[in-house]
Amino acid sequence: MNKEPLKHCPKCKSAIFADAPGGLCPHCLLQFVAISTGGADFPIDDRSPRDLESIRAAFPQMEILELIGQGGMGTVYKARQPKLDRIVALKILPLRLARESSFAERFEREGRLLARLNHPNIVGVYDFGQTDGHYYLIMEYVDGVNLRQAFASARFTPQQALSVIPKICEALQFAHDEGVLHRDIKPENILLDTKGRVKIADFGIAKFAGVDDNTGLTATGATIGTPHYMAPEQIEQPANVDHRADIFSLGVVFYEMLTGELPLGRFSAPSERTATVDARIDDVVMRALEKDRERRQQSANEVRTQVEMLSNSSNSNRKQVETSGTRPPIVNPNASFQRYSARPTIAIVLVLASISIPVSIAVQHEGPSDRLVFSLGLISAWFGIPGTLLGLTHLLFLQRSGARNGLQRGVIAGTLWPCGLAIGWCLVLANGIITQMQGTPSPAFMFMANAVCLCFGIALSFVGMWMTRQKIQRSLPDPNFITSVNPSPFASTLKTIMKAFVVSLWAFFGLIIVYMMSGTSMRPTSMQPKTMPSYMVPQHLRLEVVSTTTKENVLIAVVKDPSDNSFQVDFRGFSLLPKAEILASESYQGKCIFPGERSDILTFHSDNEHTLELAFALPDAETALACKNRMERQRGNAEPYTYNSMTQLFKINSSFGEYEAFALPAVTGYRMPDVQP
Amino acid sequence: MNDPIAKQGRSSRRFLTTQWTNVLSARGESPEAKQSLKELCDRYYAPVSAFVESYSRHDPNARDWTHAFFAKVLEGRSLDAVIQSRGRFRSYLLGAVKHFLADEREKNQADKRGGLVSHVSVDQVDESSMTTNTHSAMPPDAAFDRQWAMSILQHSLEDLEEDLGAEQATRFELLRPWLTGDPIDLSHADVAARLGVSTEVVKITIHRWRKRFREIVKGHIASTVSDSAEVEEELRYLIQALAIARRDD
Repeated sequence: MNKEPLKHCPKCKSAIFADAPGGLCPHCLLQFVAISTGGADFPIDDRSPRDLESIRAAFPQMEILELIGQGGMGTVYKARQPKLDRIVALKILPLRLARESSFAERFEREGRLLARLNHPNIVGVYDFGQTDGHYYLIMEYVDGVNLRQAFASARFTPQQALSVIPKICEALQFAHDEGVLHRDIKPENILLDTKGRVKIADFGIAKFAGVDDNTGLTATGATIGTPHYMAPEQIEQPANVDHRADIFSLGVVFYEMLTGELPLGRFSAPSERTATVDARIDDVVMRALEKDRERRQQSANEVRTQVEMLSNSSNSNRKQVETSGTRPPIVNPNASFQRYSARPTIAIVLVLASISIPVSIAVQHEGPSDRLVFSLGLISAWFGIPGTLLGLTHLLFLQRSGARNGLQRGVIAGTLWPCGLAIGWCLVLANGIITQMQGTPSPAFMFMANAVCLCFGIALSFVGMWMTRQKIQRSLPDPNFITSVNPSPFASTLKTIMKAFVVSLWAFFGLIIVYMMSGTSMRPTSMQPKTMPSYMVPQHLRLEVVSTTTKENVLIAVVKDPSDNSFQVDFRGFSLLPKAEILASESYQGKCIFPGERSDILTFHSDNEHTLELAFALPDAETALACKNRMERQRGNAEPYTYNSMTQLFKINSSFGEYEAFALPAVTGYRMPDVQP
Repeated sequence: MNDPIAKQGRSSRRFLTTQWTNVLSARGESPEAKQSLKELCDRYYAPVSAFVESYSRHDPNARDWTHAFFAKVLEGRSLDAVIQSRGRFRSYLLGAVKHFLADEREKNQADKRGGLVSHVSVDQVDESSMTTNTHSAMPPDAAFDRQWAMSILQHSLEDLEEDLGAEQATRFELLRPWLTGDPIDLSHADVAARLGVSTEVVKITIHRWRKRFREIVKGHIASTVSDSAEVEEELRYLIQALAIARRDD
């Protein structure tokens, strides 16, 4: 209205305009006419708004928020279940029904049937029962409008109708398969939520209202359902109504969507009424509206297939659409329920990459250097942070939208990193406490402590993930959604394999981390002076560094022994895992012996030439510090670069810096006197 | 005391005693039928006018079209094809006016200039609908339904007032708010004091008037549907229409 409101209704607070009859709020006026009708059909007791208080009293476990609808089939309130923290629709069936003798039994039977109908396009029934004489149903709350209201705000375009009908068909087919007929398909019962999803409400409620299987009449004698939407056989011989009656009603809704009118009398085809309707749609609609049910589509799926074929072909040659003045209703065919979403998958791939790439690099290099640790950290942050954020975003999206696609993936992607950090802190803290208490513990003890901490941390993170998942699931409308969406055995097998894969990946990461952590914690003990050289060394052994070269990250030194044929080179002080390689040079004629990959001491036997090449892994910070300490200790000695008088310590300069190596003769059997620090 | 119920006989003359389908089938052949038809058109002039206004986006010719439409209906030569339909007068009239406007548009488009309704391509739907939203507050169908409900209420109130007679006019003026339920800001006692009667009298009067008003509204609605069983449903529909209109305000 372009006019200014005269005043506001004291009851409903809406504006009253100059054209209002008698200066009264027209809505309240007409509503009061309906409310106070009295008589058997509309008892005042369960229709008056004042009833809200008594409803609140009857349902103390719920917060009754507001009255959202009244109809012949009862009164609907918006309510909140505080325990579950969810909004529901509470439908109170009219008292006149409850007075019927067979009602309680019928209600019980039908209610169970309805609770089984679990479908994204069907308004779910959570619970039903009787309290204080009120028969009630607790249903999924749909935030949106019904098709009738959508009709009133704008005519549907054929494209919109074609996008809505298949979803209704899906739901109908599902219910028919479960053996439930709707019996009262009409625009008021088809809801469009704010995200454009289509949901059918009041499934089988007509049955509650007592469509007697023999007469089709209620005890009070009034026909149930809405005559214009009822199939002819539903009116004439309700005893043998089957699912094809719902198909007829669907046809009426379809017709009304396309033309804005009901197919009454000798009606014309939709395309004759509305120029924008494709003539091919006529066949589908007119077939559904056949009086003889044998000539209708025989299943909702059949209607759906026909409509989908049409909508696929009509998308390409879309006609110009006449608009009657407003936005079309919120029906977005793309906003339908998605079974699969790429977002959590991308998130989980990023997060797993953030762990697996650095770990695989670290495993290859074994002893991580400062530089390596830094770059690995960078790699994991580069993948991990966006992955985690994406996972969390997806979880938020799920919580907001009520969808469930990718919940598992979202939870893992969103929580893996935070949990990993928690584990890391756990380990650091535990190591700190242990060192504080025990000084320098034994490697075995440290290993055990780390393993226990890690297991604890992993368990903790699993609990965290599980709780997150539960929390989100609770906030979603339908706890069985995932299973109902993915019914194919192939999909569930795939899911199990995926789960097993994720679990084994976790186990693998866990082992890697334990391995690395235990190695790190044992390193200081292996550097203790007491494990230092304990061999008799002939005085005449003097190795000379002939030359040094660097090849990628490996330092190659050529060392020469001028006197003896056999000697050892001690790599302690260079790296945790001295994966030294002897690269045979042209001048080397001898034979090398590797006592074992993890040994710190390599033994060589050389002949007269005494020249060999040594490759060193670069030392990490801790080792370098140990070397430096040792050097400090040695500075007090008269001879620099010797560990003691019998050990040759030689210095190698390279582009990486300055390194030290020890060379010992391979003479065993003599225990060296204790070294004085 | 003037009992409104006693006046039922007098007032029901104003009701269309016959179903609207019969009125239309008679095609105004007899003078009585003509009178009924005219009355029917008078009552629902406003919704049709609202629809045409909104549909044509406040074209200055909207009034002329509305007049032309009713002239055609009154001549009784229009819309024979739809007469077999047994639905509601409201849907029927809306369908009829849409047909009429479509015909007019075809005529106007013959000279390829300024049709009644402009075609808008799909791509422009949103944009154009937003501009119409600012222009007229409501889509044509909703405007029609709202005006329909308002007309029924308006005529019902007038009928009730006429029923009560001139001597009750001040009383009616004061008690009218009670027709929407018990008002928050008024009490029986206040009104009773102002009218100089007891609270009980006020309460009884309100009760009777409400009942009478209800009958009148239902009578009006009954004359627009094919089956008396549909009255409740039509009533609910109209409530919903007003609720939607209220939201659009």
